[in-house]
This record gives sequence, structure tokens and C-alpha cells, in this order.
Amino acid sequence: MRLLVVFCGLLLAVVTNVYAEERPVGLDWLEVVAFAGHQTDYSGVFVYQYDNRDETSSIIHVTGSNGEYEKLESLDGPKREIIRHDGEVWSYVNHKMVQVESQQGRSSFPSLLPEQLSALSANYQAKLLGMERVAGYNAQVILFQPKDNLRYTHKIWVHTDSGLLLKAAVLGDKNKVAEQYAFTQLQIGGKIDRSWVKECDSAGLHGKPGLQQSAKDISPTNSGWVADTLPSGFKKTMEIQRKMRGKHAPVTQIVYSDGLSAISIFIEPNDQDEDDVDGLSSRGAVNLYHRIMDQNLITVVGEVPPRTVMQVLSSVRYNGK
Amino acid sequence: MTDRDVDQQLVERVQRGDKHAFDLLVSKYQRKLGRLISRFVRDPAEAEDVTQDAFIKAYRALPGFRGESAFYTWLYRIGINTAKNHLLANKRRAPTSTPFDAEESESFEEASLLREVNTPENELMSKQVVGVVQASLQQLPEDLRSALTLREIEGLSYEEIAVVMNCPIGTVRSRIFRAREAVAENLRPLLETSKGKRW
Amino acid sequence: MKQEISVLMDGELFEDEAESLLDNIKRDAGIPNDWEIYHLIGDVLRQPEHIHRDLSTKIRERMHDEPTVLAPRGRAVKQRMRTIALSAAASLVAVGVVAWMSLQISPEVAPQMAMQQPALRPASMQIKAGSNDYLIAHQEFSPGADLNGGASYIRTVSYSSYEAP
Repeated sequence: MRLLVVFCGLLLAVVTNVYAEERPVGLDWLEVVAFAGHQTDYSGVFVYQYDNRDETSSIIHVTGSNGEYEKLESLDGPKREIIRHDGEVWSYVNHKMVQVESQQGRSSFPSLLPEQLSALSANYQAKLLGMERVAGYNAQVILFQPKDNLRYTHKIWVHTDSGLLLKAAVLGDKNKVAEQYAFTQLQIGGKIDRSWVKECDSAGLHGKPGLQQSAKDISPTNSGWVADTLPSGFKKTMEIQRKMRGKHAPVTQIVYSDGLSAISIFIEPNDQDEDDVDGLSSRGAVNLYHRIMDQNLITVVGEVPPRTVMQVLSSVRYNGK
Repeated sequence: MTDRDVDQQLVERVQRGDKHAFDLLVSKYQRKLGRLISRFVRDPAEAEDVTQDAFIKAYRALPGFRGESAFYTWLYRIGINTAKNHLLANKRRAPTSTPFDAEESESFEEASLLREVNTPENELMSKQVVGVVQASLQQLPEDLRSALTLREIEGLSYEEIAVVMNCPIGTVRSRIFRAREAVAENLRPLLETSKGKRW
Repeated sequence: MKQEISVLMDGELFEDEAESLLDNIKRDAGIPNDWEIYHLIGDVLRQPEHIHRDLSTKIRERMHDEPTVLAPRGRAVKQRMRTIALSAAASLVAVGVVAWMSLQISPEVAPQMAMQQPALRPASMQIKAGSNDYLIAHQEFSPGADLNGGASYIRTVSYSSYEAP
């Protein structure tokens, strides 16, 4: 564990030195953060604040020969326990692991492609804001300020030694906090409880039918749908057809990203199940807007302000044959 | 045995009727829990009361604890619950502008904590305790200080420390103990007040 | 004995050794024992900004008034408690969970849990459970999720994403 901390320190030094002239240092921190999150063993308690509520949870993240394992437990509200591993999600109910959701695409999605980072630098201004202490650790504060008001400002606090994200906030109009995560206690490396990892492996539920999505359920496509109006700097990163729970027909999902935020457009035939379909709803920094257009239900979801999801949806049209 | 096993063993003793085992759990977790609760309850005196309440609630609820989660997450959950109910009962919301405001830093919070403490004696005592521990630590021989730091801050097991420090496990055991005792020797006179009252 | 306490608190004693040691840790009023002091030292190392006075004396005084708790023995009782936990957890219904919690925590806590703090946004504007799947599907490909790792996943399993059917 000590070696890992030292390595991250070296990584920081290397990254900063190599790219110092070519790229702003703020973006180097993002690479470090993404790397550290995957590579570091840690255990802590964090508070997620959104919509004037707050939820406290504990998180344990460990790496092993089989990849990453992550356990989340709620510490208030209804009791929930979630384990993530290898792109799959399990809920722990009565000593047994019940698969609740599979994210087949997740594990193969690379962290922060070079294109993403350059998109980021074009769309956000990264500012180093000095040092603060979070959960007893020294953190570098970095602000990512968008160049327009069609997206949110992001502020992160990164532990200078390990590169772990200690606190992150999404700020909306007038710098009001749309959502925020902050660790209140954190142990990095060292002896971390791994007993639940063995239980996860021995549960042996891999390959069971049911909720698990097979690779066939997500496939790249050329749907013919486009969105004409997107904030500058958003580029298409994914266009797929996917099965979704409770839906008879596959849903088209097109994802656009500016490097830090993403907007997903979902297009599906209108099942006529929806009664209120001209609606805007939100949770924290995420806004969702949906509407029926011709015979299709269009849903736009993104970590962008309400006006943006609404504008994007208005510009969606079919351009194919 | 691991750290978590110790907790489980203590819990089982409490569940068999050994109240003193609960004292040991209180000693172990009171400040960790106190820190968490102070995120919700700003006034230090109130936070102390809420922390005590949380431990009593935990004691009452202990028959229902089955070891499915770690004891400390179970305890933290009770602590947060107690803190939130305290706020509701006093018709207050958990602070959303501080300490969770993106613009607030932890050090600002700490400063106000010190300013608001009710009794100057307690505040002074806390500072003295911290001062004595940190000074004692500095005075320790390097190998004792390293062993203690690796255990308490890095959370390494004795076996892992033995690897890092390139010495037998018995030496690790001894170094950690000697470090603790050396610091404790300086703390004991401070903590045993002349009136026999506990700080 | 002091060294044994040091080893015990680090979880490095065998269970039977620990048991006999725990039998022997005595409590003298007015003198903090080794377990307390060693833990205080660790707390100062980890969180020097949050060191308060010892609360254990007050807590112990309050515990004098508490009946000694005993865990219910016997298989039958254990089985029953597990079944209740299963049915409540499996449904993940807000009301069901509150009822379940009241079995675990003293009664005065449970009723107040049902009261949520008023949300800044009107309830009609919060993402409903039915739309949660879009949120999950979106998060798979969102860079923000990759940065925050597991922590941002909590957004999709937050309290408000579960509603009574």
C-alpha cells in the first residue's frame, strides 16, 4: 500500500513535468484522479448533498487479482448495500447477493481519453485555487469554469499524495451548489476489510440469466437521429441500441460529451404508457426532460442546466432514411 | 483476528450481559462518532449530548445487531439518525450552507469549533492533550514513531509493518507498545486531575 | 498486561487470549485505563482537530439506568428476525423499511424517520423512480461518473429513487 502511495506521488511528478508546457496543470490532475480512483484501496465515509438533502454513506474500494471491488452502504435513510465489480452491480439482501443492474458497457469504457481531455481544455478553464484540508488530508482545489452558462462549473479537491478525489462539487447559477460529495473520514491503503470480497466471488452468480444483460443487449448503431443544437464543444461519444427494463422495443441512446459533462438522448417508440410526458425533473446536478415527438418518446438526461436539456431536446430530429 | 473481529467479540460480550465491554467500545469510537455528529450538530456541547444519546441508543439496539455489517457502520448509522432527529426535534435543518458549502473549507469549521466551546477548561484541556501527544511523538526514537504511525495512520497490520520496517513481527509488537506507553506516561499526569474528576 | 492490551486493540491477539484478557480489564474510576489512553493517542494522531473530553463516564452513568441487554438466544428467534429483515429489504418500500428499522432501533427514532426534510425543489420536479433507469443508463457513459467512481453511483441509488409501487 505504501508503494502505491509513493507511485502515485511519482506519477504526479511525471505527469506534471511532461505536460507542463503542452497542457494546463488542472487537466493533469483529472488524469491522476481517474487513475487513483481505480488503483487505490480506500475506505471511508462521505456525504452526498443534493436538492437540500444529504445522505451519508460508507464506501470501500479495493483492487485484487480479479479487478476492482466496491461496496457502498447507506448510513442513513433506508438501509442499502451495493457491491460493484466487473461492471456489475449487486444488492446485498439477507446474506445473499441479488443482482440488480448490469452495466455491461461500463467496464470497457476507458477513463478520460486524450480526446476528452483536449475537449475539456477547449470548453473549460481550469484554475488552481490553492490548498484546503478535507477529512484531515491536504487537498489541491481545482475549479473548472465553463465558457458559457449552458453547463455547470465543477470544483474538485484532490488529495495531493494519493490523487484521490476527496470532495467534488457541481455549481450552478450564482455558484450555488447543485450537488456535492465530500469525504468526512477516509483511510487510504493499509488494512481494509476485504471479507465481503470473498462473499462476492463465492456467490457465483456470474452467468446467471435474468437481470444480467448480455453483450447483445447493447450494440453500436447508426440510428439516423441527430441533435442540431448542442452547446459548443459537445461531441458525440456513443450511439447505441439497448434493451431497457420494462420496454418492449430497444431504445436508441446517443451520448454527447464535452469532457466533463455528458448529455444522453434516448429515443424510443411511444408505448403510450406515459401520462405526463412534457416534463422536466432533476436530481442534484442531473436534469431530465422528456417529450413526445410524432410517435416517439424522446428523453434527454445530462449533468447540465435545465435550459440546456430543453434546448437539446427541441433540436432532436430524424435525419435518416 | 482483525480490528473488526475485536469489535465483534466485544459486541458478543455485551450481548451476553457484560456492560463493561460496551465501555471499551465507547472509548474506541467516541471521538470518531463525535466527529461525524459534529458535521450535523454545530454546537460542541449539543454534539456531545447527541453523541452520548447515540451510544445509549446503540446499547439498547445491540441485541438486534447480527454482525451483518461492520459494527462501526452500524454505529455511525445510529449516530447520524440521532443527530438528524435532534435537529428535527429542535426544528433545525442540517447545515447546508456550512459545512457542506463548496466555498467552506474544513479549517474554517475547525476554527469556529474552538471559538464556540462552552467551557474554557475543556478547550484548554483538549489543546493540551493534543500538544502532549504530538510533542511526545516527536521525542520518540525513529523506529518507535514509525511503527506507531504505520499502525495508527496507515492502518497496516503487524505483518505488513514487519515487511515495511524489515524486522520480525515480535519487534513490531514491542515497538508499537513502547511508543504507546511512552506517550501515555506523559498523558497520565495530565488526565488525572487533582480532584479525581475526569476530563 | 499493558502490552497485551496494545496487541488486543490492534486485533492481533487470538480469540481465546483476547477473551481472557477482556475478563481482566478492570475499571478504576478517575484513572483512565490503558485501553482508553491508547485509543486516545490514536485519535489524536488521526483527527487532532476533533478531540473532545472523555464521554465514557457520563455514558456509563446513564447506562446504570439501562436494563442489561441480552441478545435473544435460540434458533427460532434468530430465524424470525432474519425473515422480517428479508421481506422488508426485498420490497424496498419506504414504509416497509421504516417499520423494519423500528425493530432495530428504539421506538422514538422510527416515527420521525418518516419525516423528510422539505426539499428545495417541489416533489413534482424530482426525478421519479420510473425515470431512474435513464439516469443509470446515462451514468454508464458519463465522464463525471468515472471521476467520482463509486461515490457518484450513489446518485442513482439515492433515497429518492425508490418509491412505493
